[in-house]
Amino acid sequence: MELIERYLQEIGRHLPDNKRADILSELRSSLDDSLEAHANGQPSEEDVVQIIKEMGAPRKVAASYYPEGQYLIGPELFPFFQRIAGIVLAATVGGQLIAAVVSIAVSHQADSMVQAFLQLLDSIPAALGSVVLVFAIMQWFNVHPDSEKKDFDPRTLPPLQKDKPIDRSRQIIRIVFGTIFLAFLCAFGASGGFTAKYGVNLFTDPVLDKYFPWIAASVMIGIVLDILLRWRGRWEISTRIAKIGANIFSIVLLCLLLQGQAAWSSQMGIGDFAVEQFQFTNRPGGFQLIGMASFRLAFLVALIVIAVQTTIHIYQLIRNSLSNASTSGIKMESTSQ
Amino acid sequence: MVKNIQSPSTVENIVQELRRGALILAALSQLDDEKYGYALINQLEEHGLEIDQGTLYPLLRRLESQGLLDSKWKVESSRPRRYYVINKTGKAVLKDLAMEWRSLAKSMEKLLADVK
Repeated sequence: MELIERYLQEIGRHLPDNKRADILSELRSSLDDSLEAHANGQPSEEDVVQIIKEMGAPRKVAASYYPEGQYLIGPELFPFFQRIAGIVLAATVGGQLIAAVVSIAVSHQADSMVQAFLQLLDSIPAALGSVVLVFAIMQWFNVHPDSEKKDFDPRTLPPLQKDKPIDRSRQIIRIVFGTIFLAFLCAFGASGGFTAKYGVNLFTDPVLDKYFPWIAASVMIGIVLDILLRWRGRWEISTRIAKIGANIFSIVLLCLLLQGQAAWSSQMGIGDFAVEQFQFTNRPGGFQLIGMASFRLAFLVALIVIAVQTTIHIYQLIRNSLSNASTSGIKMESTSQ
Repeated sequence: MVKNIQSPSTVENIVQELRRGALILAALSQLDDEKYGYALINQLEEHGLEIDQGTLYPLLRRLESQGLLDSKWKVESSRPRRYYVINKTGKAVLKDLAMEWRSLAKSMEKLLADVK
């Protein structure tokens, strides 16, 4: 009954989080009852298609679970609104991100990153506001998307997702913390770099300063991906590839940072390990040495964590691709018979 | 100029609006004993009232959230099903609604007597 699971999966995408599992269990049980009554034990694919068609298109079924009343954007339009809002949001954020990266590459200044971040904060509400306005007008004139009027064919439902749905609340926490971290980075960047002051300069990290805009860009890409994931509700091939790409960008950046730190250490005439650097605490600039060593250790830990995470993503991407290929192989076989 | 021929979706919307209240009354009237959704659909069909699953299940949930029905999951013949039953508040509301319906039906019969 893969078709039923695909159907329920699609309905579930448009249901409220807190009621999803319960509603889907009830619909599954109802579809089973209908199948049993229609097909007496051994339902054909045609029976399943018929039963699903009787229940209705996924978005329409899901919309009927939202409360009735006066709407700015009603339940029938809301899933369509979510889709368009997501596309507009992705285009706005993506476009500005590309513009920011190009601007950093050209000017190589921390200010460009701060500007890009502030512009992003400005443009997101403006873009979303425009979409809301268009949909509110559609709702007012009772206009519905054409896709709902077409005959719904259950065979065209998307395949079953192998990955479990993501934990949406955890994703929100990640987005909030990521944004706070980015704001800190931008604040540091704008105030003249990574300099800790206590009466006099304790230490500066010239390597961090050099790569600061790229670190901020990497964090920003991470936040955008988290927003995208929160919206999609689960890992998909596109988001996974994007995540792997973003991680590779971070790995390259961390390698450059580590390499820069090592070069700086050897220039100062000290060895590779933090312990060795602690011996220099009493000499002039000793605190800078400790600071640099701490950063270096943090980069190394981050590099290991991201490398492991990337390996897991690559493994899951390959596993899902292989299993999708084998499923479509079976489908082709059964069609040709 | 008066537009006489309305689009099918307009007629469909009006029919849906007309049926909405009636379906609430119909569902409440048949839930003296606990029933799961599919059994209720069959029972309503036996009385000549067709209702699709996509309409009934959200309706039952709304009635439950309005405090007129109670529900619980039960496992029968290895399949879990959600059973609904009318509660005390639901019975009182049903009584009022039935009275309202009868009065409305009487008036409507008179009003529609000349419509062919």
